[in-house]
Amino acid sequence: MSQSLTSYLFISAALFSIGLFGVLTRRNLVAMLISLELILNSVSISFMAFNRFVFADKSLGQVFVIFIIALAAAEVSIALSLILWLHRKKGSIDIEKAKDLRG
Amino acid sequence: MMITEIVFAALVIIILTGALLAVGLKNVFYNALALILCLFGVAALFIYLNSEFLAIMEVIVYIGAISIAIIFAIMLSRPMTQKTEPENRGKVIRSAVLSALFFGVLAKVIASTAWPIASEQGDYSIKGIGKMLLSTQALPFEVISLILLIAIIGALVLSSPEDNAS
Amino acid sequence: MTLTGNFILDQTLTIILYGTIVVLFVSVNALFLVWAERKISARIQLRQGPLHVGFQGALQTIADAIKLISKELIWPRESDKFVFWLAPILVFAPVLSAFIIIPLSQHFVIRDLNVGFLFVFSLTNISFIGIFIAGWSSNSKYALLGSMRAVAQNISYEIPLLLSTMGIVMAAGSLRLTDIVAYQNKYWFICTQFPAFLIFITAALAEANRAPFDIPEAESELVAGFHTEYSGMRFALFFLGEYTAIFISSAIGASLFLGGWHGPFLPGPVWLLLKTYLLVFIVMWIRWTFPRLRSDQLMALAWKVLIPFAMFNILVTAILIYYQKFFI
Repeated sequence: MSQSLTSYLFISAALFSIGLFGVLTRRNLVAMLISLELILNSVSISFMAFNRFVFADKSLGQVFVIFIIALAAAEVSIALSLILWLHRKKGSIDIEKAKDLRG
Repeated sequence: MMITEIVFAALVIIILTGALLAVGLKNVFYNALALILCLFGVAALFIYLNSEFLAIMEVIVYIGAISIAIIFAIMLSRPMTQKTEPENRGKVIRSAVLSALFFGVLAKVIASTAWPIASEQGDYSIKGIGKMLLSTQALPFEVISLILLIAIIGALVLSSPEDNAS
Repeated sequence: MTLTGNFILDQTLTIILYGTIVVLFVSVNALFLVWAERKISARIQLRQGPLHVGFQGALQTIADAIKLISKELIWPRESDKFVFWLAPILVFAPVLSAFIIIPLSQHFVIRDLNVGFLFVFSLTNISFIGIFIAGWSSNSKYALLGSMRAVAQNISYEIPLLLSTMGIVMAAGSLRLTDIVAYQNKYWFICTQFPAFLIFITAALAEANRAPFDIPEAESELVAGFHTEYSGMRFALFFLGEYTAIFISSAIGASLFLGGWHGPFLPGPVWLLLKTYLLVFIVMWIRWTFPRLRSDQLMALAWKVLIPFAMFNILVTAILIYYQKFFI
């Protein structure tokens, strides 16, 4: 089971759906960010699985996962700065409270 | 070998449990801890995919930096004894149905495709990654370093005190 | 070696055997190091240290351990009980992982990983999370301040720690500790990478929250930092984790810079232990010699001094390797 491509792809799809559920459901901004990290990790697993089983001659999948990890780090730093700035302005990080632009 | 299969099954259970706890629990601090558990499982899964270096990188960057930053943000934005948010039942059920449908579609596509499995194994060593980063993937490598620089500058600008803004 | 015929039983017995040996070694080592610290600090301060319990106070640590075990385990009010219980475990467990990779002699290492010492430094990130949640779940100001400072210090000093070892990795051509130690049979890396050695020692001191970088658990500053609210055996776990972290950093430093098990007459493991305890002695000597650095001085040291020097070291090493086609 650990040597077949489809089991890794199932894990990746399950993680993606769980992350999607979290992004849609949670109201706390940091909880949405955590669910976003789950989605990014599911994509990393699927890249690595394809690198191991389908495109096995180059390590392009691993290089791409390095890029994904670096991008996730950059994104989390900006996202957390924005979340803390919103907390300073509004007093809470509930996404339902941030509706100043609502017409 | 049976031991590797048993450990693989345990890893899958750890990953899925961590992910479900990370989106399901009410206390956002517990969500962050469950995310750390899930990421640890993903790093162990990378070892199964022949890449110990990426497993170590995942632990160092994701668990050692990103998760700590997330926990910092949680600590700075709410006290521990604050009540958690009330949930909207309709929204939860709609999101669950949507995610389940999405997973169903993906699973059907995965199961019914004839994946072309490669027969020979390539070079997975750290030397290979290094060579590729500096020769064929040199452009994304430089762009990533620029993106990280921009992110650092952006985070500094966003978190500077307001009376200092010029 | 096959003890029984069955492969799974064999592997399980091997794991249990190695685990028991490591735990026993960690306990005896902690005993010895606490006694050594008290004796060394006493002699540096021109006093005697423990004298009464056992020969020259050697069993003093056992008396202290019995006292700690008999203390009441306090749960602070309003604390998050699960996280409070989890924190000392997360702090102590990862340091045990380092014993897997240290090469004791030419043929004996528990697991010679391809990523070598990075394995240890990745798992110590989990102990930072333990420190963080220890302060958070204690629900007390001093603990929270101490843990925030500790985590900021630890993640800042991790970068010079890893960068300083990259020169050695480039010279030896591999991350495996056995390859790095085998490369040192002509000369030790401390001769050619001396700045990297200094950066490594400084960063390893800061990683272990050890003076002069012990602002997070400073005894005269923040009550006791992030482990203020911990008592009894839980406090002992933090303590054990810190001393084992010092031993692990010294053992890895001895393998990377001082030539590991190489040496003329004595067997390999004895040389490794001698070199490790030499580095531990230097670490303890530094503690009782230098004053404590303030938080901002500490961060300035990491970001403005150590990281540029470490990067410069990597640059010079790379140039020398490339243009001379051999390393000095």
